[in-house]
Amino acid sequence: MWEPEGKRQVESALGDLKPEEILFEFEEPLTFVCSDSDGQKLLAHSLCDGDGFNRYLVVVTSVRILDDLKAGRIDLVGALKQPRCWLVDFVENWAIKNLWIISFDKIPKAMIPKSGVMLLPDLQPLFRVRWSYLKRSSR
Amino acid sequence: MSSPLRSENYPDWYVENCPPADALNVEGTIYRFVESFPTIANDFLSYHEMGQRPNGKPCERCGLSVFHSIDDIRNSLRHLLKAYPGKQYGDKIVRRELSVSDGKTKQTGKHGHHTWWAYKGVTRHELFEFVEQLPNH
Repeated sequence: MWEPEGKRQVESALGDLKPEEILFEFEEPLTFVCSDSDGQKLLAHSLCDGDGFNRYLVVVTSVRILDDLKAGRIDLVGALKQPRCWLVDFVENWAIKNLWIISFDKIPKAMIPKSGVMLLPDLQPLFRVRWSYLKRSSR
Repeated sequence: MSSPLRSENYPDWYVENCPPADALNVEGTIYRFVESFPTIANDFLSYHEMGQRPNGKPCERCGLSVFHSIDDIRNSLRHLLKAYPGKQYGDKIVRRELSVSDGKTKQTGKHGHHTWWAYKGVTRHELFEFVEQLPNH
């Protein structure tokens, strides 16, 4: 299991991070919304499995980001790349085994979904076309 | 000691009330994704047996994830490999014919995801044929 470069925090630093809204699951909740002890919404995304625990990336989020993610207006990495990130190792009943505060850039790229990968299999990335390009093309 | 609610047909390590009463004997093709082909027993251990996925549902952790449609498993696996690249889902799809003597299945997720609870004595990894390997993402 990879050793995070982030700063370790006490397991209870964020409070209870049990899923409040599951956004995608397969055999277990893989992407879900939870809240810290101050009520700040957090988005949790499963990264990898250890021996008896699962490691999740947990980031600060907002209602707007969540709405955009669920509607397919932004991709997963767009929702996950946030200035405040943690790594959380969960064991049974969502008890927290390890917690690190970490910079998004310190997470191995092989663990992060690539650009254009959406929350759900049936969502397609939204391609945006610049207005200036459209005007030029129509001349 | 086994629970009176658990069928004698199932391994004694299944949790209580597992499989659920509405799981069905199904005859037909099941598909599963695995890391290795030829199939090996390790790819057919339940998360309960391996002590993994600690926050999965207890009864589903006793069974194995399967699909009844090739399109459903392709779509699900493609998404899992892209959205959760560190989870090491197997990228090979295999299939076998299931008979009523092999156990029961039930749909336990979206996109055609089912769980197969094999009867005691069924060698879970046998009789699977290779279907395809999905490209790396």
